[in-house]
Amino acid sequence: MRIKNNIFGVLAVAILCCNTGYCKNVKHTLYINKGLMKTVNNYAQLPYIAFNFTPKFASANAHMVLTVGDSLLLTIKNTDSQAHAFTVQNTAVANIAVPAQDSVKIKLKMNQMGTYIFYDPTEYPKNRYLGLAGLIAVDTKPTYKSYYWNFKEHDATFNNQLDKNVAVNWDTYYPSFFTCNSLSYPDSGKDTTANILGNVGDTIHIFMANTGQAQHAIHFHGFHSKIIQTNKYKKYIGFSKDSFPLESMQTMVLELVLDKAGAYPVHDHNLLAMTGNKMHPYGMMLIINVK
Amino acid sequence: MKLLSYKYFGIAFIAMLLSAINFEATAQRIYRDTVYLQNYGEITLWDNTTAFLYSFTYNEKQPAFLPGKIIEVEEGDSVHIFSRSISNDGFHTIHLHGLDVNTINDGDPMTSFPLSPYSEFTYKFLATHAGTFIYHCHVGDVMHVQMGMYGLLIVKPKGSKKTAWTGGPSYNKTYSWLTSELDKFWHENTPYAMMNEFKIPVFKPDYFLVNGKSKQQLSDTSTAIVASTKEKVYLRLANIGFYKHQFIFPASLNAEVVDSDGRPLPKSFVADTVNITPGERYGVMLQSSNALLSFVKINFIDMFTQQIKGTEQVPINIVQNVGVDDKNNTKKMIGLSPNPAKERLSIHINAKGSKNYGIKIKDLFGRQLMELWCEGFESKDIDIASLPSGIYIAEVALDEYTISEKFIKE
Ligand SMILES: [Cu+2]
Ligand SMILES: [Cu+2]
Repeated sequence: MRIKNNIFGVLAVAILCCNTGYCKNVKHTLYINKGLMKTVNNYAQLPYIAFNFTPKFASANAHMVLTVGDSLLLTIKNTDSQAHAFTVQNTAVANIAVPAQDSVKIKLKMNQMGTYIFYDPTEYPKNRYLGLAGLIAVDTKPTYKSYYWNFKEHDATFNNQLDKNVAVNWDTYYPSFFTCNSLSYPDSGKDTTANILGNVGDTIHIFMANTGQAQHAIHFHGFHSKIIQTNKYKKYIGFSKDSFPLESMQTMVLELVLDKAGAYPVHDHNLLAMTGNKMHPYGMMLIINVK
Repeated sequence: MKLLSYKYFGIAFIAMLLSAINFEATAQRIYRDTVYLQNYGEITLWDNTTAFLYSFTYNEKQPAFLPGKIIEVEEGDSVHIFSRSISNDGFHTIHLHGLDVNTINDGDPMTSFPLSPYSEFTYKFLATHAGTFIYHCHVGDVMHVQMGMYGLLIVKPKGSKKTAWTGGPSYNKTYSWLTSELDKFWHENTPYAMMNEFKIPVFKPDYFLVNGKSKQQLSDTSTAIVASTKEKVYLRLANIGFYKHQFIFPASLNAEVVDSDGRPLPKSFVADTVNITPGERYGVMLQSSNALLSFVKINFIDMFTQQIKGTEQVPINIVQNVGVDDKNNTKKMIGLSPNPAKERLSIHINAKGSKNYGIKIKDLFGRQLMELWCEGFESKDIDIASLPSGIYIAEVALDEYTISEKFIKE
């Protein structure tokens, strides 16, 4: 099945008049790029595919930031020699074919606050696992200070087998790299889109997604934060937590009020994820810095 | 790669000065406790084997145990935990998990500082919210936590009222289950000097623990739930393992989840299954309108594969109206006294005409631990000193039928 380039309008939800006053069109081009993900300390190089804003491969997927009511005008260009597809979780955009060396255009109006995972559903979960999964952050106002956490874990053997079209047994999955925006500690500490830097009194919104296959348990030192949106287990909305689970393909928006100065780690409390290549402490960790 | 440098010892000194001026002015009451951080200890597992530990102890001359003791403070307290490392090598800290303490008192060696052998520090914080929290070592976290350096810290409401939080739901009895796993291989192959980088083995836990116990050890009175149909039980659940712990309650217990991570939930909910991932805590209210002798089943689920890797069952015994510890046994066919008992248990037969009978003592898993035959007595004293503390069943076989009663060994 081949969908012709211009599907503008086909998927467009009727653009109602904008009642937030912030609505706009947000234009992006996403390139599907194949490459190698360098892990922490160069322990391994994993076959990887990602959505990037440029035709140059980067293991960190692009993230897109919108306000409720905005329309996302997307061009997806597949630089790979294999066909891919495109889905935006919890929207009408589902399984849009992106043939090899071809491109498609998509228009999507974002009507609800939340974190939305965009990913390739082809041979699910294969392509998503190999890296094709990023996040769209949709906030109620563009004025919040926001951070973006795309958590994932990686089993080097699985990446190599899936890349060679060798079947894997997910029951034996034992990842040894744990990343946020494709980086592990200490490299993850340099990511300004993820590491909160604020002042006492700031209210922060954190848009997070688990695009891996395992479940993660995120723990904050220093603060409780409020779950203000999630795409699964809606009863968690309104909970004030210092530790909470994030399942595979689950997203959340957290509201965090920085009530004291200092440096506070955020990490996976499945402490096995505080390692890279089974070496401690090269795992899933960020630092909140408050002045 | 140099991740941590020893400049932290300078920071530690400044930290001590800083923390000395913390909170003193605002708090009403100061709660003081002492914790020793120890790299020597031992746990006896359900199969009578032992595992080497790093853990906490509260007496400098005693080895460490698992889990650490429950530190109980009151909401509003200024808490001072004097901590001294009595490890002869390596570093440790106390991380006050969920208590939102400031950086100096946080116990993460990356952002705060570690305690070197024989050094000491008083961790200070204000207990702002009632609830269930954890204290654990954060040095080489994955290893030191697996080695056993964890315990519960409970903040009770002001005045130690029997409510989940100030103004929250009330209860008659409370239990706390701190759950974890133990991989014996890790305890036998502990890497040396875990301050900077070190390698961990593959995690394949072979013991699944509730308050450091499993299997038959779970009938221990501090873990197994004993209450009457009139009593509301407040159960605190905390996961310090690396797996997801799934608690399955018998439906008749009407498990109601009321709080999490030291905060009341916006709206409580009834659920017979409660999933708790590493670091999370939940408060659950239990009450049954009918007598119930059953179990709370706990599945230990691998976070990577979502497969169940272990299952434990904690006995639960809800008796009709009166508690097990009710002394009024006169109307019953057999009387057990004292109950709870320490060393001797006296069994009195109220059934007429029965003077020959057999007595079996069983645990809540139905395993027979003692058997006696009595002729010509209406009562019999039995020596139960050798039984581990817990809930047991005395089964008395009379001429025509068998009756049983529960008792507690202290
Ligand atoms: Cu330690
Ligand atoms: Cu912790």
